[in-house]
Amino acid sequence: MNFADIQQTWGSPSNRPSPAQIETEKMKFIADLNRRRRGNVLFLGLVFALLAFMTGKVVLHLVSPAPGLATVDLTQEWGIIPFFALPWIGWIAMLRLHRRHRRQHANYQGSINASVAALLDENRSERVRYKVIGALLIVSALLLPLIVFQLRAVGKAGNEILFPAFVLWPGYVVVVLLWASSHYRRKLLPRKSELEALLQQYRSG
Amino acid sequence: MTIHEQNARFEEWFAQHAAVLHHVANGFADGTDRHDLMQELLLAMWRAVPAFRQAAQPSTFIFRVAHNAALTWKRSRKNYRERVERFEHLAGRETHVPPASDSRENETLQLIYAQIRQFAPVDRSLILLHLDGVGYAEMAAIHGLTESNVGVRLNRLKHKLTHAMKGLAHELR
Repeated sequence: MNFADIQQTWGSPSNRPSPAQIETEKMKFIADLNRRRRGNVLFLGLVFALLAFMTGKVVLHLVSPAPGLATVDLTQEWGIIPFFALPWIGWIAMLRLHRRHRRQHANYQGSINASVAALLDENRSERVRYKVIGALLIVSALLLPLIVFQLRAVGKAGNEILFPAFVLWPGYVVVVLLWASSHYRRKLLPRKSELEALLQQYRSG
Repeated sequence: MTIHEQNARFEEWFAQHAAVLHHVANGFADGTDRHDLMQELLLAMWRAVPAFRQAAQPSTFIFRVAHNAALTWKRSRKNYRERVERFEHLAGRETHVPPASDSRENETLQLIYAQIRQFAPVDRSLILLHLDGVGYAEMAAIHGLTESNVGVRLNRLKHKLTHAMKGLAHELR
């Protein structure tokens, strides 16, 4: 068998999908697409609703506290400022990463080589995102004792705050960090190696 | 571009270029993995529709999108599939779909695909493009390589594939 024979077999009708096969693949794809769309919309909607609700509540309380509720004296309770700044620091860091990626890989559709390089950079950005989130969670756990101290000093909290602040929140941080480091090692690092190996194939010639 | 326009163009492209996707899916995966990859290729093509510029050839664009999706296809799905297959095997269910015809031609085709799947991913993509009649210049543009590099690689790959198929054809007889 020579290469012409291979080409001839390649061009035979056996190497083309039947109309029934095409239709089946299409129907399965449409079902898959609808499922993915519903999932994305639901996730984005839930995250947005939760963030909007929490931010709105905090801002409203700072600007005009409801009657009966204690006002916030920022000279004595300034610990909440860095605490609430943490999600924004994370958000800004992620926005910067996203912008840098878009700038450096603006022409990622030019060739597969360029697309793979862009994917590798995306993987790097995702790894940095994990590190940023991890660092922010650790900082939040370290900031909590200060906030607890300030709240107790102004008489807004008693002993009931100790368990959530020193057990629940640090416990949650540890669980999230363990999950994130497992995902980092089991998913992100192997993907990085896979993409680097692919890029290497382009460079090796 | 509205969603209806996107869907209409996607259907038109799929009807015209289904064979290309079929070749890429078979060249990069087999068994039930093949179905996962095919769905991934369709998704990549559907997502890429709005990015298509009329100045370009749809076929070149589809080749690039499909081969890009196959090359960067996430292996994690494969692991999931392997687990499903193992479970189905244990449960005694048939998962392997036999080819529609058991003709000699079909058997040879399966061997060609099996051989192509042995190549490194980028080489796999190059030989598939070559067999689908894509020229060196177009291949170079799709992959971001030089034409001479494509030529050198393809000569080596054609030789490798022919040599392997000669041995297998002998065994078939």
